[in-house]
Amino acid sequence: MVIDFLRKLLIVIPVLLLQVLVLDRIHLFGYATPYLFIFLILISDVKTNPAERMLWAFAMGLVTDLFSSTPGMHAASATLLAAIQPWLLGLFVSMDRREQFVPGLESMNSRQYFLFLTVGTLVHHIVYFILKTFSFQDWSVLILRIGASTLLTVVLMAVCEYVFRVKKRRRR
Amino acid sequence: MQTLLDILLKIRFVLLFLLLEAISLVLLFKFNTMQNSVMTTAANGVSGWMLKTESGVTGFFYQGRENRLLAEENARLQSELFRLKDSLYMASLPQSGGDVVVARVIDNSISHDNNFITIDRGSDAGIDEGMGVYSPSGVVGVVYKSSRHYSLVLPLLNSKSSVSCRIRRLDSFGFLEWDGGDPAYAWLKDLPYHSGAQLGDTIVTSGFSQIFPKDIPVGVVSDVQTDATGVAPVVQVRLTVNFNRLGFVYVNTDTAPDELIQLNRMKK
Repeated sequence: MVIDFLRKLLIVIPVLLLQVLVLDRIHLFGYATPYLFIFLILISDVKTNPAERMLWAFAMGLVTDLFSSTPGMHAASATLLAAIQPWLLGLFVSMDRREQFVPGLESMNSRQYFLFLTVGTLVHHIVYFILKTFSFQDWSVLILRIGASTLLTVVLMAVCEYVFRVKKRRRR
Repeated sequence: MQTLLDILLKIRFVLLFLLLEAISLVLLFKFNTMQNSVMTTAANGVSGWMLKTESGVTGFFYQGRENRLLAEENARLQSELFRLKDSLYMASLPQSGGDVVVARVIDNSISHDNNFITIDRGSDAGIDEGMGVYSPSGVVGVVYKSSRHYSLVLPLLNSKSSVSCRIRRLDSFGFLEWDGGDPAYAWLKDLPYHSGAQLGDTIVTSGFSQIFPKDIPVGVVSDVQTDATGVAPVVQVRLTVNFNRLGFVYVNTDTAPDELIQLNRMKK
């Protein structure tokens, strides 16, 4: 239990550092900012206790909030994503929630997997950007932001998938 | 009861979800400035703390170079501002302008009963004890002691300070004193009986002592009372100078002839 917690922390901390120190400062073309840390929520084991997943997501969101002075926004959207993750995954692949199932290229075919990542990211980004903008006045800019950021986040997720997860598997 | 517990157990994840979202939204509405303008309350202390913490941590990685650039730019703009303000002031000076020294305030206090100001010019610049110090907005005080490069100024906000002033509309004279307390207000005493001071009257320097040129603004009458005897008027004056934000001051080095100073000393 403790070992498991520490192992998760060892992954979460570098990802959060990358998020708050590098990725938060990217504004590609003035619209696209990647939020890579939600990758960890999306690829969490389906069997994980929903409470545990939500608490992790909440904590990660809170830390990101603290550093980008956007209190509550990341925490709210990440918690929501964590809450719907198993249900969302069920839309793309048939699996039993009581058994271990880690979304990835190993367990799913790539089309299903990337579609799942895209939809999950899109949901998160829609919630996040609406909370952040807090108005629908500039809805065209809002949509542009959500679209561009989703694209960038998913591309970064794919890079991470191939660099860290696929390689690791081959080494085994 | 049992059914209630069962239901609670069944929806415990939903409850947790709602709790976490509620916390997030409370944070969102309480702390964020943009959302604050949409909602109502502010929690400036906390958001300020958060911003400070953030800049403290991220600043370690990013802001060293930017800080240096900004400081350089600041110094450049500051000197330019001083030069421009100086020339502006010289142009508007009522008397011949040659006898004014510009100095920067390097230390200041307003919270004590006997406050002092330190400026960065001293006897090398021609400053001596008893010279008048004023800013573009009005009288600041009198030089108390001066070393070669620095001077200590006795501001109006010092219980030892006493400056000869005049109610402009009435031409009646009195001494401006300060008894501690609010740094925005001082008292004009020793006015003639029936001076008829009214709210809003402008108080300026008298020019008697030649410490200050005539008609430098001091303040505005904000209250008229009588002293302990119940007869002599005492006037509360709202000072024009904001002692909180003194940046630079002028020292009037154009003092009275020695002869007059000697005479004044004999009075004491």
